[in-house]
Amino acid sequence: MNERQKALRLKALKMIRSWGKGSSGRVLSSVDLMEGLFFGEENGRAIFNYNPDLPQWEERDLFVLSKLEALPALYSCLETAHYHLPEVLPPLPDRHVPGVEVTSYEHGYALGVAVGMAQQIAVERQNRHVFCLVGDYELSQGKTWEAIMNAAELKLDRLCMILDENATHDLHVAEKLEAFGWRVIKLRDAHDHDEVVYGYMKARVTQRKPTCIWAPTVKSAGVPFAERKPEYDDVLFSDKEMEEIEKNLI
Amino acid sequence: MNLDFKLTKLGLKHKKMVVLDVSFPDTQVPEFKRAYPHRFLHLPLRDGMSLEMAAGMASLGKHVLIVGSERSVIELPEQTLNVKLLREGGESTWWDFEAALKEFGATDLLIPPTDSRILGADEKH
Repeated sequence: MNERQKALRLKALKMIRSWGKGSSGRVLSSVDLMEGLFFGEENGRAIFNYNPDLPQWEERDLFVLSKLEALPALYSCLETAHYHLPEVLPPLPDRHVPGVEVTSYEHGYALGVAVGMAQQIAVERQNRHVFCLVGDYELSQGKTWEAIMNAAELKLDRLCMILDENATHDLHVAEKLEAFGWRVIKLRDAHDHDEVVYGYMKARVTQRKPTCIWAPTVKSAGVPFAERKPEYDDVLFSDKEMEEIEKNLI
Repeated sequence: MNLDFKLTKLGLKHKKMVVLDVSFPDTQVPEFKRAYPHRFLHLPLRDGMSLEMAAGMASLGKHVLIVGSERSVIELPEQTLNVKLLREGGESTWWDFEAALKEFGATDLLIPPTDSRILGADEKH
């Protein structure tokens, strides 16, 4: 785990504490996927194009958050990337916040929006990509599969769905997505910066089909006493626990 | 005047207008499709996610009209997106239709009856 990943974790956990609620387990499972996207580089070139001083820059890549619980991780990434965030941050994704592309209040909604964006990008032949972070539980929604089917039918190679699988399911995700016409890239270690960046690079060069980065993650990753323990999924860490976390992460 | 003819005509003026048609099996707006193939998308029976797709296209600056949907209301978390749901029923004229089309935000548009005339501004008032 690199220093930035540790700092992002700490920021996100502090944010959850200040809000008084949040799914720390699910936030910590996603933070490395976002870190790899926002700060990853390949041969000195950023894999995700953005400009914090011009959040509406017309050539930017788009990051769409469908996994609503991971919002604190996104905020900490945006803050670290020097976006000018408001003092009071909304508890749900709101596109009025710089760097947040889609307003969303329900699971399974934002992937459909990402498909619409990728379709428009394809029609206008722009050199932009749409990355959408989806939680594994969203695959139980019909709406999500309808979006997956549409993306494959429209051959949206500018779309990359990042599937954060932090719980074990017997869903045969790869087989199903490949049957629909997607390219599936499975990460061996979804918390390793280089591995995540390599996955995004492969997704960017995929042609004629949408890509899914299948990321098997660990809930509460980076907090040893809480890792893989469901009882820590939605808790607020106590002062003593935060001290221990800080010792680990600083 | 019918919807297809009217939309094709409006497409000349409104360059950002995009039509998302979910009617099954054929499109309701073949003339529009022929005139502006890059501003038309036919997804038969995909009414379930037409709003999401339209929202995505609208968030990149397009003015999206959904044709053939069976929805009665337009519910989006972001009401400032230019998504219009075209639906039949109620009394309307092409003049009202065009005026409502220019309005900002997510709304529904009533399609006037096919035999409805185009009322000029003077005639309207």
